[in-house]
Amino acid sequence: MTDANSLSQWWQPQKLALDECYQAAIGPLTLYLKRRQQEWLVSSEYSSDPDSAYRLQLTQASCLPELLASQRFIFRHSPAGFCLKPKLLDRPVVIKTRQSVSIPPGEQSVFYISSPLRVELVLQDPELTLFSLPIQRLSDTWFGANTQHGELCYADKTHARHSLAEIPARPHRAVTPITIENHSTRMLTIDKLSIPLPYLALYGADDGSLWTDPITLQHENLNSLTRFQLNKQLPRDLTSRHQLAAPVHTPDKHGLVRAFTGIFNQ
Amino acid sequence: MLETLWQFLQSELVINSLQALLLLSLGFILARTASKTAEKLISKSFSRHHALLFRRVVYWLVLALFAASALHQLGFSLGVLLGAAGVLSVAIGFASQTSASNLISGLFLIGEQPFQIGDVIKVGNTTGEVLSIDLLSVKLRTFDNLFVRIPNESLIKTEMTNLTRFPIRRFDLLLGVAYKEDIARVRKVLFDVADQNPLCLDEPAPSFLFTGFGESSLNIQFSVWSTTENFRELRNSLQEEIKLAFDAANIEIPFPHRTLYAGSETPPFPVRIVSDPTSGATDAATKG
Repeated sequence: MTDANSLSQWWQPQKLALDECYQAAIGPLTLYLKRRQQEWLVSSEYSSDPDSAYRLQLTQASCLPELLASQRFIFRHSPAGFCLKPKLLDRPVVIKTRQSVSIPPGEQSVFYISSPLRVELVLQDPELTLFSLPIQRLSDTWFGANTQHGELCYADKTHARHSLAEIPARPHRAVTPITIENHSTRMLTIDKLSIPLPYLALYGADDGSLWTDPITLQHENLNSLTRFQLNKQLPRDLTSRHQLAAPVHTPDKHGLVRAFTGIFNQ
Repeated sequence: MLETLWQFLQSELVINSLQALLLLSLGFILARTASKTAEKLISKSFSRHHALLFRRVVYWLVLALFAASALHQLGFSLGVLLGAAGVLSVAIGFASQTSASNLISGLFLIGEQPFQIGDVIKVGNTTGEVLSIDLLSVKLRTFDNLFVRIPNESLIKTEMTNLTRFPIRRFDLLLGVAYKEDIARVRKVLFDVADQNPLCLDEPAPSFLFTGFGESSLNIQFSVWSTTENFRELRNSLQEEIKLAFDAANIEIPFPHRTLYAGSETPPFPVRIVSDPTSGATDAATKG
């Protein structure tokens, strides 16, 4: 059993013996797995308790909770090896900072912003993805110039923390170091920020914390789009060996994304 | 006997007919392959609808060319045939005015492109998914799985709503609360419900409009946005959650109220006071 408030590498491959159950509580999501001779049974539930964001409990359970509906996956001989893989969300996440942040012209600043993950249940030998679930259910949001043009994102709230030490250890969120450079001649006020998660890779550190590629957003004059760069220098002591998931998309050659301008405020 | 048959087979008429038949079958095969290839080529850069249309045009064009040469092979003079077709077309034109008007409306529809195959549109009382856009009519599949054919002419004439053109949609919920309620509290409960519902878009933010003093309620319009595909689900879940939240916060959604005024001219209403509901019931029963 893992302690509720310390991180561990929960994405390591594991084995589940025949007719045994496994319970994984990662942040607000609890997954229940059971392996039988010819099937895998999976059920899940979300907790609404605010303290659940910090929990990470991986335990052998006696059986599946009866009240939850479970999904069955049928095999000739069910494979024993499995792995819970963290993945970044499939759409950008729009972060609302709890206090608005202003960056004067010519200045730059680094923020550490975390975004929730999805989890995939992958069976080993042969590798087979059974399902994918968001660990935290986020509300949808629209990010664009008007109601006709824009893109569908997820919405989340954050503190936009300035120092690494202030980030709480949460097992279900990956931290993105974002450098914002204000190249314009006016004050850049940010109350909403879109993190282009589909362009980022996910890394798992040895201590169990999760990170994405660091990015730089360059704000230029009179431009609703922002220049976006992936930084080569990975945070902490991460190397490409720690990569858990590759980016889903590669940015186009201009590297422009809609990062700051929210809706109806151009 | 065999010799006569052999002579007949060698005669020009049979050979020409065979050639014409060959041309026609070749035309069929070529038209099918050419139209399929054309559709594949064009489908990468154009919409599904345009590709389908292009396929049909190529098919009939190739087939018409081969049919014309087959007729030519049989000895028909194409000039005379075309002339006869001209006279015929006037006659047919008068006889088939509706079809012609549908055809022309269809061409306008294709040019204007108010919807595409797969869109959900509403025409009059019919709402459904567009299955095909043809020269004479548009075919819809309604949500109760009925096949509806709408003539192009009526589509051009009447108002048509495309429900899936834009990626997001607004749901306007009209509701009333009792006069005794605190509007600020009602507003807070509504915004909390929208905030908790993951289908409700965070941005554009929900809007709260106090529309006026109704007959028996304070009227409110609460508008929330959702993605077009989640619209029905949001409409259901949001109304259910609002009802639950109002019940939890003791906010009353009133029924129409009627206050009876006897006036100074009329005698007062007789009022009977019943202290205990059970004794009142027995009292009424004994009297009845």
